[in-house]
Amino acid sequence: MKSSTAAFFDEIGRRGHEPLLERVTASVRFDVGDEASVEHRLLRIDRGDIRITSEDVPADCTVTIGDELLDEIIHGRTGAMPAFLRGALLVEGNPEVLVLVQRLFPGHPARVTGAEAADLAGADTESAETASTASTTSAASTTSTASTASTASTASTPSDAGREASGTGGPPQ
Amino acid sequence: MTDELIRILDGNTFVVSDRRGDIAATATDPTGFFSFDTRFLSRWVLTVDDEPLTSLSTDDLHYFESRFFLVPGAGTVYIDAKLTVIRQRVVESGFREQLTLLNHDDTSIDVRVRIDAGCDFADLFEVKDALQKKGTTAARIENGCLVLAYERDTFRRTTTISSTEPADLDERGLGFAVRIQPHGSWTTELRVVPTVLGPDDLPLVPRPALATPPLRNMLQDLDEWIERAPKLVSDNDSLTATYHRSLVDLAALRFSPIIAGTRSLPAAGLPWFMTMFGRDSILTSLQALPFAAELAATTLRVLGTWQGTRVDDFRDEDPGRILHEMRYGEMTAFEERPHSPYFGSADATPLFVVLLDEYERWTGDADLVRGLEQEARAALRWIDAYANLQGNGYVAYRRRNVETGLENQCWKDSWDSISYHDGRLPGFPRATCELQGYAYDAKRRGARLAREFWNDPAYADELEADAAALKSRFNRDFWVDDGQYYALALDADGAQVDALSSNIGHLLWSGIVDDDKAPAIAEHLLGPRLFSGWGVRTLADGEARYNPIGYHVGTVWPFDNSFIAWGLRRYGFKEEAARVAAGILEAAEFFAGRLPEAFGGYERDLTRYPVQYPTACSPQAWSTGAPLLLLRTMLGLEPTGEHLVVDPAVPVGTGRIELLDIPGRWGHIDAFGRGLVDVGHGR
Repeated sequence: MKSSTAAFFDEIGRRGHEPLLERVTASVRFDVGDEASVEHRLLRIDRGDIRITSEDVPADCTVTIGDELLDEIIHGRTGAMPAFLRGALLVEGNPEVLVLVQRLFPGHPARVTGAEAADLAGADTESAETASTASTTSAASTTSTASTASTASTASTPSDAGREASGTGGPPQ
Repeated sequence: MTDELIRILDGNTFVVSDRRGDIAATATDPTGFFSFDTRFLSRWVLTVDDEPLTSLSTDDLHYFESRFFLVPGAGTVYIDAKLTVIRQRVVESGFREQLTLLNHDDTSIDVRVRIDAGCDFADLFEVKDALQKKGTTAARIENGCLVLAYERDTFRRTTTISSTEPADLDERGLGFAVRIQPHGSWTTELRVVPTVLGPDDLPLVPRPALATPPLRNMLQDLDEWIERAPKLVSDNDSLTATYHRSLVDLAALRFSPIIAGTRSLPAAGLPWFMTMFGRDSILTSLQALPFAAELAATTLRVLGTWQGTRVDDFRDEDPGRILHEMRYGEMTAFEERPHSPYFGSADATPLFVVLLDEYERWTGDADLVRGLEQEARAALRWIDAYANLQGNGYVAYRRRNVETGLENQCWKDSWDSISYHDGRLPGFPRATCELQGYAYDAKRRGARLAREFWNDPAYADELEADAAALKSRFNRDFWVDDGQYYALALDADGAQVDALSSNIGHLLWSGIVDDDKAPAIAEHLLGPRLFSGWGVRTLADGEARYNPIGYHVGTVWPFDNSFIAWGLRRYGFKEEAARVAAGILEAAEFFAGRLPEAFGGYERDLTRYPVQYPTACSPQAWSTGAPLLLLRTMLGLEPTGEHLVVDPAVPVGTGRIELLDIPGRWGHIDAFGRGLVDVGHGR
């Protein structure tokens, strides 16, 4: 598992509670890697309370996925749904759980322009017009507005943000 | 010609063929066998002794089943009918076709029967936009089946064709050498199974739970669906037929998204829109609440699950935003289109809250309202935090995905739908008026939910204060004093886009209209510039872009009119609402009970019949829902506390109507109304 992926799961575990998942009581297990080496991350969600372990036990939803792709999805460079549709990952059990868990993933920094700035500035349209991508992203990581996007963005490390902003690895736009 | 096409469907799986049952699709032709937004058969042609067949008749048995009677020969004047060919086709996960040949002769015959089969695996978007495939197709024989396959990286789709009688298989189809005895018959069943493959060749979409039989009894399912709906008793045969048609078409348009299990919601329409649309699914669910409230429950749950949580310009996604459209095809899978899901709609988000409240008022399902509290709050937050693009407190839209995003993110989404009186088009962001009504209604209804279910009276007060302020501002900023109506929109500078349009009718529905302004609005809606005699035009006669057969600039939309009628009732204009209902329901008679998406805005006295707008989309969900909402408005059905208030205002020509066993939090209630309102036209 890539270190940024592992760091993301650690961060989710530390968060403990996620308001966006308050209607969710379910478990999802990520089987990450290839045939040679698989690591597990089991998320147990109980009305928004999240516990993460590396157990390999049955879950409501199991996602079998390569470590590179998971890292791309977690950091918003591709979506779980398109990856699922193109057969790049395998979902067993209830796919709704995966859709809900995606709420924990931050957005794609390179795709974020005006609107997040508008949110951070309290819907001030002028800053929405002028905000640059990179500054928006770093602002999102350090500002504690009520916005869900900014909450999630704290998960991406500064080095990730820099790499993504340079435009590598992103899907066509 | 689309009129000659035969369509059968089940959810997002459907077959569109010619009247012989054949499919010979070109790249841009919407015929074929489709599932998950992908064409799984583009060629399916039956020949007997290498001759094509001629259609004698076609029976639309059910929305999921049709039967074709054919004879050999290519339609010469004289048909020697020694042989009859019957194709009976059912859509059901894939499709099955019972092929039967009847020999009417006294001697036995030998014939060669052949089905040519092929597939281009086009994404629906590719069919629409005439694009080239990027992957490779192949055909192979495997375990007595013909397998057509498509592959692009990890993206894999297959079509597996088999028959109950042994066939001579090759890569281009199936052949049968058949001997039929005198006055005898021969039959085989052809099966076509589409498969969406994931890693390790496992089916991508999890199989239904084991308890579900692999093949539903579709007829029984349809019977049960109609049985659960209220019964309409009426002397008016046309109304009865329209009601039945609406229920059946609504059943046909039910669609189970991947995450909804066996529950279903309304897809938008055949053939292009057999998928979940935020706006269409919500508005159709609203129309159908008194008849099939479970559609609303699934719509709310699925749209809530997919609610936006981040800022993503490619998908025009924001936190709290409700999706516009979801697709499962190849271009979505490779992110060449943003529909996974795409969020570019400015109305679905406030309408989500409106539906949640209205659903609870009908059903008393407090659990869902509590379960979706976070989603509803996020939707309400979106209105202020993300939709305020003009900085003046109004909901506006401007796409951030300029390549493949939608320019107009309101229901009138064609390029020229939003114009000034003189025909100029405004810049972006645009704040159309009905969006402000929806936002106002969402805040008012959200306040009720906060107070009664979320235990947050302070938030309720805040929402109500916001709503009151919005209403006050709106009535000042959008009111066109000269014309005594609301502007269609505010432009990028906050100035009025001053065309007179049907959008003002939605404002009545939302309750944002000041009481002293409502009579002028009702007068416009039923006045000569907007009202054609059949219904309210999308754009008024006299506007520069008015065109009676312009998509959003002069045609009459049945769905639009059903919400306008609801709005007129809300403000006490019973007679005016009855006139709108009468016009649309009388128009339905000309379409055998199936209202099209739109019809021409010509004056009723001029054409005597409603002129259908040339569109390929039929049935369409919110047109199907229009007669249902019109029944509600004619009977004046309004949930109040634990009761259903009935306050009929039925047009004279409609006669007496009884709607029996209306389900809701009250159990079941009957409603009666007599045709007492004189609406001028009609019988």
